[in-house]
Amino acid sequence: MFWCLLLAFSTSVIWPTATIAPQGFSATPPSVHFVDIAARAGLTARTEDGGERTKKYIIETTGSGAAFFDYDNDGSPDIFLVNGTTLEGFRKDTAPTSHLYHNNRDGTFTDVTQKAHVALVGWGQGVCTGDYDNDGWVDLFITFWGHNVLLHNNGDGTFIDITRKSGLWHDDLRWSTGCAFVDYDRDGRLDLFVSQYIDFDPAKTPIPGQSSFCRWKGIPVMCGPRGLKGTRNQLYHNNGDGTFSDASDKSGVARAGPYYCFTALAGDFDNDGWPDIYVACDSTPSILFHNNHDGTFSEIGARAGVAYNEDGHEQAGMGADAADYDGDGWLDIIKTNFSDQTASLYRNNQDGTFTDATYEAGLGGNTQFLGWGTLFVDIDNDGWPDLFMANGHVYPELDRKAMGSTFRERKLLYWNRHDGKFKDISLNAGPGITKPFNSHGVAAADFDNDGMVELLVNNSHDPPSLLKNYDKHGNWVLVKLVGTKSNRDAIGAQVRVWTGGHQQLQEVRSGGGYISQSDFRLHFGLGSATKIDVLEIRWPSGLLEKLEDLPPNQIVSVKEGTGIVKH
Amino acid sequence: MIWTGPRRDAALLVVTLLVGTTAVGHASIRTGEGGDSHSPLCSPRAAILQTLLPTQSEQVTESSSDAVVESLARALSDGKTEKAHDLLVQILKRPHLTSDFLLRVGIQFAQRELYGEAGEAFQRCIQEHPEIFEAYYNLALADIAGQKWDEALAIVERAPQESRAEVLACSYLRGKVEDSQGKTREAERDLSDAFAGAPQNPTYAMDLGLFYIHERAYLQAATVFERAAGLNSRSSFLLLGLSLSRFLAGQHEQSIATLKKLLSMQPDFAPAQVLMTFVLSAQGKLEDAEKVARQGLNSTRASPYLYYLDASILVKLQSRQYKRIFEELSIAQSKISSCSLCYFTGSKAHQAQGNFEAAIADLEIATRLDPTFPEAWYRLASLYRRVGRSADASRAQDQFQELKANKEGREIQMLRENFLQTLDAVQPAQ
Repeated sequence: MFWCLLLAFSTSVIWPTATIAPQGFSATPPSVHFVDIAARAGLTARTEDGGERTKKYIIETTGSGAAFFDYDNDGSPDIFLVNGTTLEGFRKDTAPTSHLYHNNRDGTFTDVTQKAHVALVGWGQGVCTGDYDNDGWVDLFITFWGHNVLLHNNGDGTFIDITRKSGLWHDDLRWSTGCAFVDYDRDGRLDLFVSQYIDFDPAKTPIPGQSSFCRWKGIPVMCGPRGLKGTRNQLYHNNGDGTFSDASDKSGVARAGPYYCFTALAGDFDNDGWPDIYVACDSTPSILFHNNHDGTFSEIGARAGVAYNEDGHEQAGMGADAADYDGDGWLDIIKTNFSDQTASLYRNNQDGTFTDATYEAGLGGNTQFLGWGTLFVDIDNDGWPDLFMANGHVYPELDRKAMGSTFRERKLLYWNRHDGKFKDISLNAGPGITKPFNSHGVAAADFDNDGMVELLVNNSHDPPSLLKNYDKHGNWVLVKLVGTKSNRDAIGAQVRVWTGGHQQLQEVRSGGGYISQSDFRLHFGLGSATKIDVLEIRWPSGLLEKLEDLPPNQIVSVKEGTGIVKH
Repeated sequence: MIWTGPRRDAALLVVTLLVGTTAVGHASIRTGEGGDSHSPLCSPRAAILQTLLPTQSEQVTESSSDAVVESLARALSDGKTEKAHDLLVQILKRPHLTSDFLLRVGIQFAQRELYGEAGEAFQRCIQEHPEIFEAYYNLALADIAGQKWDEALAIVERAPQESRAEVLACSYLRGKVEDSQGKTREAERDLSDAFAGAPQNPTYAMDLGLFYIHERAYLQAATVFERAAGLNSRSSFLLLGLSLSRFLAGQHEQSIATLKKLLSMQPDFAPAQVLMTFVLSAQGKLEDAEKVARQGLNSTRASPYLYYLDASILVKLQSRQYKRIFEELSIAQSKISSCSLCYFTGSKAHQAQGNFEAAIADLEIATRLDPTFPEAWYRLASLYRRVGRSADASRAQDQFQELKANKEGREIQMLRENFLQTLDAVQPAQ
C-alpha cells in the first residue's frame, strides 16, 4: 500500500470545490432492503414516553435519544438508549431505565446496564458523548426533564455519575433536550452545549382542550409548546480540571430566546475553522450560533437563512443533521418538522448564508409525517449522502380520528440523485423502513464493521429498531480519528475524501440526529472507486493532514500528527 | 321550509361566488302545497333572499300589487335607490296591505342589501299580520344583517312558534345572533338544535358546519356536512363544505374523495377545482395538483385563484415554464383584488431565473399592497442582502421581525377565508 502523509498547519483553509460525480456512478436508485434486526440482536427493552393512547402533557411526547459509541474501545460501537417514564410512574423495582448494550461483535448485543451502573430513571431525553477529560475513554451526557447526568467512563466497563462534581448540577428542574460536546474555544478540551425546551411545570400547564393551544384541528390534545414558557440554551466551558463553568451569558448563548429547542448540531458551517452551533427549535425560529473566535457567539439564524422556512415561517424543528449533500465542500443542513410542514433542507451558499432548497431538492412531499430523527447517511455507498428520517406523531388521539396522519408512522428514505435532488425510495426500501413506529432518536454506525451503515432508532412505546441494509453496495472507508493536541475524540475534525474528482466532506460530531449520538467514526461510500485519491483531515487544532492513494474497504485510524495507526 | 303552507312564488337566485369571476351558483326555491318550500340561508343577505316569500293568504288587489312590486324592482335594478325609497314610503302609507305584498316588497330591498328598508316592510307586515311567522323570521334576518343583535333576538322572542318547524327556525336565528355576538357555546347549542331537528335542511347544516369551521372544530364540521350531504346528495355546496372541513381536519384523502365525487357531478365547479388543487399541493403531490389545475384552467369559468395556484405550484416544481407562470400570475393579479401573493410568487419565479432586481421589484409591490405581509418582508430582506443593499435588508428584516409570519401561512389563510366567504354567501342547492 502506498500512501504519503503531508502535514500543514492552517487555521483557515480554502477548500477546492468539486461537484462532479465520480466515474462509474449512475443516477439510478439503488436496490435497498432494510430489515429491523433489533430483536434478534438482543435490543428488547421498550422505551416509555407517557401515555400510549392519550397524552395529557407535552412531556409525554418528545421521546428519547439513542447513541452508538465505543465505550470499551474494542473497535465495535456499543449502544446506549435513553428511556422515559409515565405520569403515573412505576414501582421502584420496575421503573424503566436507560440501557447500555455491549456489542458482542457477532451481530448481537448484551445488556450491561446494571453492570455498567448506567440504569438512569426519569424523563430521559437526549444523549451525547465525548471524552471530556481526554483520558481515552468516551463519557456520556444524558439530558432530562429534571436533572441532567454526566457519566464518567471509568475505563473498566463501568461509569460513575459525576454531575455534581463536574459543576453541571442545577438544583432546579430543567427540561434539557439536545446536547453536544464541542470545543468551541479550540483549547483541546470539550465544552458542552445543552439545548432547552420548555420551562415546564405540570401544575401550571393547561390540560387537553383547556385553551386554544390545547386543540389541534379541533380535537383536544396536550398543550404546547405554544402557550407555554420558553427557555434559553446553555453552554458550559470545560475548565480542564474535570469541571465545567456556565458560560451561557458570557458567550452570548443565553441571549437567544426564549425558544423551545431540541437538537443541537455543531459544525463549521462557514469553513473558518471554528465550530458553530445550529439548534433546531420548535414553533420558534431555529438558531445558528456563529463562533466569533473569541469565546463568544453571535446568533445569525435569521440572517443566515436557517431560522425559518423559505417564506419566513417558524417551523416545528425537531431533528437536524449536517453534511455536504451536493459535493461542493460546504456543510448543508437538514431539519425535520411537524406534520403539514415539509422538512427543511438548507443549502450552504458558501458565503455564510443558506438557501432553503427543500422544494428544489424534491423534499416538498410527504407532509403527513411528523419528523424527529434525521441523518445524512450513504446507504448504498455511492459516495453521496442520502437522507433518513424517523417519524411519529405527538397525538395518539389521531388514531381514533382518521385525520390523515397516524401516531405510529413509517420512516422516510431519500436517495441522493447526485444532482442536488433526492428521490423518495421509502416504499421500496424494505420492512425496516415501512413498518410504522412512534420514532424519535436516531443514530448511525457500521456496528458490525462490514462497510455498510446501520441505523438505530429509539421508538416510544416499543423496543428500538436496528436497521440493517442487506442489499449490495459500493466500496467504502471508515475513518477513525484520535486527537492529540485536539480533543481526543477529534470532535470537530473535518475529513474530505476525493475519488475520481468527487469530493465528500464530513465532520466528527457529538449530538445531532434528534438529540442523539452517532458513531464518531466517519463512513464514506466510494462507489466503484478502487482507491481514495486524497483523504484530508483538518483537525480542530488547525493541523491539516493529507493521505493519498488509499485502498478502499478498510477502517483507517489516524492519530493527529502521526498519520495512520493500527486500530 | 320550516313552516308549512302554500306558496305561489318561486325565485331564482343567483349567488355570486367569491371564488370565481362570474356567478356560478344558482339556487332555486321550491314551492309546493304543504311542503317545505325553502330554507333560511347562512348569510343574512342570502337567507333573506331565499326566505322572503309572499304568502298566499291574501288575494287583495293582486294585479296592482304586482305592478307596484315590478316598479320597485325596476327602480332598484336601475340603481334608483331614492325612487325605490319613495315608493316604499308611498306603499307604507297605504292601509290594509296584504302580508304577501309586504313580504315581496321586503324581498326587493333585501336583494339589494337595503336591509333597513326591507325591515320596514317586514315590520309593517308584523303589525298588520302578527300571525305570519315569515315576517318575524325575515325581520330578524334583516336585523342580523344590520348587526342589530338585540332587535333580532327581540323579534325572535315575539315570533309565533306554533309548529316544530317554527321552533327550530327560531333556534336557528338565535344561533346566528349568538354566533355573531361571539357567544360560541350558546350558538353551538342553538344551531345544533336546529340542525338536529331538521338535518335535511341544508341551510341549518351549512350554518352549523361553517360555525365549526370558524371555530376550527373541523371534525365536527365534517360530521355535520357529511350527514347533511347524505340527505342532500346533489348539493354541491354541502359537498364543498364537507371537503373543505375534511381538508382542514387533516383528512386529506377523504377530502380528495369528496372532491372527486363533486367534480364528477360538476366538472366545471370552480371552487372544487381550486380546493382539489390546493389539497393535493398541501399534500406535496405537486404534479397531481398541477394536472388538476391545468384541467380546471381549460374551463371558461376558471377561478383566478386557480391561475395563482397553478403558477405557485409550477414555481415549487422548479418549472422553467416562466412565460406560462407570469401569464397566469398576470391573470390572477388582474382579477384578485390586491393580490400580494401573486407578486410574492412572481418574485420567486424571477429569483429562480436569477433576475434578482425583478424579484425585488415584485416583493416591493407585494409589501406595498400588503404592508403586513411578513413572508414578503422576509424574502425581501434576503434578496436585498443578496444584492448588497444592507440598509434595505435591515429595514425589511425589522419589518419581518415586527410582523412575524403566522404558522399557518398566507396562502392557506387566503384560501381558507376565501372558501368561508364562498360558503357563507351561498345557498345550498336543493
